[in-house]
Amino acid sequence: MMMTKRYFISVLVAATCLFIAKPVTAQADAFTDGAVTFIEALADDAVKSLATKETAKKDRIAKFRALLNDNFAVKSIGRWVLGRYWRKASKTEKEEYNVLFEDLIVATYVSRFEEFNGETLKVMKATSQNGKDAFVKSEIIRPGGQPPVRVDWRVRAPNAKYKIVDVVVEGVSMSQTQRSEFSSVIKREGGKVSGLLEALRKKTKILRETEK
Amino acid sequence: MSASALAEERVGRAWDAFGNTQIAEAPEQTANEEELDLGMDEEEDTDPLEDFNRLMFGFNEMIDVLFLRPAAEFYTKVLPPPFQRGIRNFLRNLRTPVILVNDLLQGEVERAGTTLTRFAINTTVGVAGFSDQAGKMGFFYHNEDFGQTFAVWGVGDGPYLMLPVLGPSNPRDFVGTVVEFLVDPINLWANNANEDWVIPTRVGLTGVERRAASLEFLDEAKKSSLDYYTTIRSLYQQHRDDEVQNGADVDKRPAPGFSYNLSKPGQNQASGKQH
Repeated sequence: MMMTKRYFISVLVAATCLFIAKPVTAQADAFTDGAVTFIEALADDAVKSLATKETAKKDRIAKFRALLNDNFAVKSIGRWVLGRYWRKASKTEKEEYNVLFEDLIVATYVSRFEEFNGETLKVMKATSQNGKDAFVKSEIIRPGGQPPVRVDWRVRAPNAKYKIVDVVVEGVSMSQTQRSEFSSVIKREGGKVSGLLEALRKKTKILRETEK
Repeated sequence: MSASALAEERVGRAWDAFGNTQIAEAPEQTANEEELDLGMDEEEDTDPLEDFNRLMFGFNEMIDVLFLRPAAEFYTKVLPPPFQRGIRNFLRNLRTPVILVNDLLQGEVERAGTTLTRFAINTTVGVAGFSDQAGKMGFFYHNEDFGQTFAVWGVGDGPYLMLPVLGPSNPRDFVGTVVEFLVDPINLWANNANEDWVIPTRVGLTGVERRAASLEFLDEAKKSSLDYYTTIRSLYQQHRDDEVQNGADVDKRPAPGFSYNLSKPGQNQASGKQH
């Protein structure tokens, strides 16, 4: 019963958002509407399963990893982040990179949910310029008169299933930041992807130890 | 067109070139591999002063470890959070004239109105600016400076520049910082009245307050990044670009070659003011 009620409420909230979004968005269509619902549901899911203080670190990591793989195009983001160096990497390098990249994301973001302090995500509307990327606009509402934090989600739905490809916080793209960083590491390692892999191995080592 | 705005546009174009098929988690890519190059080659130019910048970055890290960070940690330990917020609000309120002038120079009449309203409310009800009562009513703080105004006027940012002590910048923003220092009414008053303590106190307090506010964020960034220097550069460039655009929708940002001009000041306004 409880679940049904929560589900009903989240659908209601999503529906309200869509209603508000309609007049604003020039080409509101099924694609952008669906994107809004997708982010709404994800936020709800994440808060329920991750933002509980009691959860053990190990379980939290497992849950985060599952959510990440369900809702983000992790491999594609990784490939985009590596940019032109993807082609230069060997098959085994690519395989290791995929694993390490996912680990890095988990290691970077899982701890952020521990600091969760009852903030709410207000999903507002989605727009699409090309019918391929939808930008879902949302805000993290904070207490005490602080301006809300703007979070934009770049979403695609290649197989009729929505996947996030980028998160833009206050105009800062997470993917772009990593792309600059990775490309800089590779350049400093003489253009070799193996140098990046070594750095990634070191960075993610701590995570692997926690997870065991 | 500024380099940072170009960088922003590049994100969009690079994702565009990436194609939808790749998001379908295709195991191996062949057809679109060529397009992956897009944007990456241009990026080589974003930091022509890298050697100098890295040197300065190392120097700043040293200053930070020795002075700024300990001061910021002391500040956060000694002062309860409400006092810290009070000081931040007070310092922000002092910058009102600079923010207002730049709102107006950019033709942002509505934002200028917000700035004035904030000043009126916070200086009185907010007790000399210590309490952000205006923010609680929905008149949120926003930052403006001369660097942003120059950008709106069409001045390019030039190469990324790591300044000693002052940190990440570029020639455009650095000139903006200097101009701000010279025209700030409080600085002018302090010089005229021979109140020698005012400027150093304000500069010092601002520095410590800003460092204190970013303690956790920068620690996180340092912990998770593979190349801290590049992370900071990328964050700075993207953040400045966002400030210049006043948070306009990322997907509606101008394409390369589009230049701003004063006759159309409200370009980015409509979409930037959602709150």
